Amino acid sequence: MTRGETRAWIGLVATLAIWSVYGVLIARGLAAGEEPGRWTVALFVEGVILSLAAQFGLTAVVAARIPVAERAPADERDRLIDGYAVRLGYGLLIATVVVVAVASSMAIGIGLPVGGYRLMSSETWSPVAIMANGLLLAVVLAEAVRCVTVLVLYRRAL
Amino acid sequence: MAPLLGKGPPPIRNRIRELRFHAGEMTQADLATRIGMTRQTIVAMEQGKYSPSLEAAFRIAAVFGVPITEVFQWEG
Repeated sequence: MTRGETRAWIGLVATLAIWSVYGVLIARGLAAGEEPGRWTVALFVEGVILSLAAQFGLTAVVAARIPVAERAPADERDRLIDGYAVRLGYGLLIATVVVVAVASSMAIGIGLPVGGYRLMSSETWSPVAIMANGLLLAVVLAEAVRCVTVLVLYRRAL
Repeated sequence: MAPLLGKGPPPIRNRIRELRFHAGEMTQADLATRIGMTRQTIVAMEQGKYSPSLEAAFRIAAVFGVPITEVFQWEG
């Protein structure tokens, strides 16, 4: 397995695992009628720290286990694969950010219920909190798609 | 440059495996080191799944001391 594949696997597993747990905890909070506040911010910060630690830590551990003969720097094929995956992930990110922004704005404007909770109500989450989590979901999806694209392109040998 | 998500392998055939054999059974790792690429990229080239850049193609030809057309042939 190449270094690029290893990093993509680590990125995919860490991203999906950490932000899935975050999503479940946020959903539980919503279901329990908890207002967003310190606990949601703390959860987000913990997610970011864990994600960075997992990606950098695991990458360093795996890199140390790669035989010296296999430790070649990235070449043109690695850069080509990485570039394609980043472009695809970025395109998806832009598209999902627009969808989240437009959907949230429309829902707020006409008072549609989002996820079972009516926006702009003092008893529910603020539109900002819901939009922020929607944008976070967009980032997670984009990163997952980037990692999967890298893995697929390496498997195709490109 | 190979089409990233194109259908089928690129229409360029190469004789890298054969040339390695005639060059004292040079390993893929040796060739990769000499042209500044990874072994996996050499594997992909030998399988006909990746066409290198022009610069890399010239480097490969230079390693074997042959013209570039001795290494890569257009099949399109």
